[in-house]
Amino acid sequence: MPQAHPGFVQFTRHTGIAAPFLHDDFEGELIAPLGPELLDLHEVHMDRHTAVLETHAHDGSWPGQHAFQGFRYALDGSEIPEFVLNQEPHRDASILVTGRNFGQGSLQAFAAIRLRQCGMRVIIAPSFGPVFYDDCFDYGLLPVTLTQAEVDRIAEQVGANPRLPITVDLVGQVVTRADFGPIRFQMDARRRMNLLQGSDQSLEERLQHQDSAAAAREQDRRVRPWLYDTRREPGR
Amino acid sequence: MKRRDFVRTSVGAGFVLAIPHRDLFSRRQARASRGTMFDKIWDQHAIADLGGDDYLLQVDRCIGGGPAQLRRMLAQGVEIAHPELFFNVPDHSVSTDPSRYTDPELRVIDEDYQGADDLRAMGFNLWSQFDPRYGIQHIVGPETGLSQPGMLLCAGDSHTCTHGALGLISWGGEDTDLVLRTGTVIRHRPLTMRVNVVGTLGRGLRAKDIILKIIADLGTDSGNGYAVEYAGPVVRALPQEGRFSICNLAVEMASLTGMVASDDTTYEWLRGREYAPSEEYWDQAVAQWRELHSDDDAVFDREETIDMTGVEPMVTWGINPEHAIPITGRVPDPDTAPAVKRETYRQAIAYSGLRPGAPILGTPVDEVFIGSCVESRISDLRAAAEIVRGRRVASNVQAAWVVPGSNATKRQAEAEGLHRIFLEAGFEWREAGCSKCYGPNGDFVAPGRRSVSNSNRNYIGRQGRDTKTNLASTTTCAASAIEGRIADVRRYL
Repeated sequence: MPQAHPGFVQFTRHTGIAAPFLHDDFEGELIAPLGPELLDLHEVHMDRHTAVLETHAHDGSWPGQHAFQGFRYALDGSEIPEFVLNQEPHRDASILVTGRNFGQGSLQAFAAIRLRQCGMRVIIAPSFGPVFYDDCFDYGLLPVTLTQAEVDRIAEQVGANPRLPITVDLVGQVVTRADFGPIRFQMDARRRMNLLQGSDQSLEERLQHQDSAAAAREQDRRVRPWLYDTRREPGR
Repeated sequence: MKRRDFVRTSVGAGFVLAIPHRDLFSRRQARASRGTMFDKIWDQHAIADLGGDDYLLQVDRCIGGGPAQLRRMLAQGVEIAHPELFFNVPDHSVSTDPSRYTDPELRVIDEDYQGADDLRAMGFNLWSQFDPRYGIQHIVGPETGLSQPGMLLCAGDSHTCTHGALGLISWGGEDTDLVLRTGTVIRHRPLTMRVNVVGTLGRGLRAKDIILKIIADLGTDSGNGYAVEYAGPVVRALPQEGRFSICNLAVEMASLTGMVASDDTTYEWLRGREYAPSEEYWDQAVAQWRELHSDDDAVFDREETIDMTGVEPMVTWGINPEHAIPITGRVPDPDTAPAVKRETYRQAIAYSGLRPGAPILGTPVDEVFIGSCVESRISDLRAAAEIVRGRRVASNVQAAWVVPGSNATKRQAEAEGLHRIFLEAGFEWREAGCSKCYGPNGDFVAPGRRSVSNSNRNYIGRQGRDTKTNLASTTTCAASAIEGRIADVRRYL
């Protein structure tokens, strides 16, 4: 059976360069901005199930470049040097170390999709916007929740030695780097198992309970018959 | 045993069993029902406890299943469980330009919906811009009666929490493919929070001011991990349409959903709507709905009280809805802000182009937007028209738009002559849709401009690149259009 979410991928452990980006309350829409120049791209990507399958927009551009667009590029299209992902070696970062309530608000799934498209695999933050957090799992990102102090410390160490890679291990639930000891993190058991096994069980789990769902629905049709009376003259 | 020693649990929606409290706890140490409205509705929809506070839940309504999505799934041979539970409208993507019905360029976006008769025959409610029921999904769900108290409703769009104002559980960010396949969702059971709104609502204040005050006080992440019930005498006294405005911004405090318990105000508002329970079932439905309120001894994981006494109309100065201040207030100074806010405040000051310490009142505005799923219902348009009647939009305002939330709202407003009031004042009277609140339909604020908007998000670039948005109530927006600067609506009452 195909994965319920085409963007879902296995995660056991990942080692990569980190980028510190310590903004609190960073909105999902700043990760995947809206704008006239992105109109075509959004039309192409309006269906979240086809979105991740598109590695290139129809004009041949790389969609990952639009992640953080307003932070990455000036209005004339030139790179903003202060932005961390425009700096070496963070340009190749696959781990984002960021602030509280990251990805708040929602742009449906585009915030997670854009991050994945620009090469991210792990987001480390003290907390996440709830919709964004859920989307991370469906689109191949691992959201790791640590305390503010731990996040600050990692960001500081990364700043001091940016080329030293970080390893995020979902098996042992630890974040490690040569210059700091293992930092443990918690993860919902169901989701962790799905990621480790590399199979998104969200459809199978539903199908397992198909009979109880059908029984509940039949019962409900008797208790609340009006709810199912939605056929009207065809619309337009 | 007393009543509170029992936990209402369920083997399916609508079929409720009372199980002794201790029996449940012997099976699992999980978040359990403690008599809140949220708990009652959640338990009625629980099909299976998946462990770790995750549940499989029955879905009663889903905004999803657009023609492109349905055709992709049908081509894959996927069976769709309950088409009659789904409705969809191309609200985000359709232009609200008055020429959209005739301009071939603007018509093309809507074509999928226009040519979807085969899908409608399967039972899906799909409304193109030509359908009299067309409009913003969170306006038309309640307006047609498809959304009803006691339901579990989910969708992809984040402002789906709006529907909770009818006393139901609703959330956005859901993958509707899986709902289409099974009619169910899997969700982590959130904690519960009640926000009690008390005191006396000042002259000129609307529901939008209440929710901006709540978010300003509690913060944009205060609801993270919670389902929020808005309660208290001020909320109870609100008309139904105001309750939608409150719940609409629940997601701006990062909560899963916002809810207001249904009552006679709700039932009166809902009765007779196209998909509301027919007269045959009406009394039976209302009897069920009346049970769905938080018990007197309900226990919430968190309670907050917001006193509206003395609160002024609210307006945002910065880059998220928490940056709301009283209309006679001053733009905050990042240097004297709490340490955790300082960086965001600096960013907001840099972006908004406002001076720390400057009064927000009188800030010149380039555009005014009245519309969106927050406040574009008929009562909102009436209130805006009252302010505008006999006045003119200031000459420095380069675009002042009124965008009704639905085709039905537009027809009603025109029947009342509201459109003439707006047009005579110099507003543009547009077709229904999401419009400038969400860019990819082509309705943008021009680069560099400041817009006063009654919508829900003022993030950097939300209404177009390098545009600054000040969020306020509909009537504050109307007054600001007249003055050409951020205005105190109380002068017009």
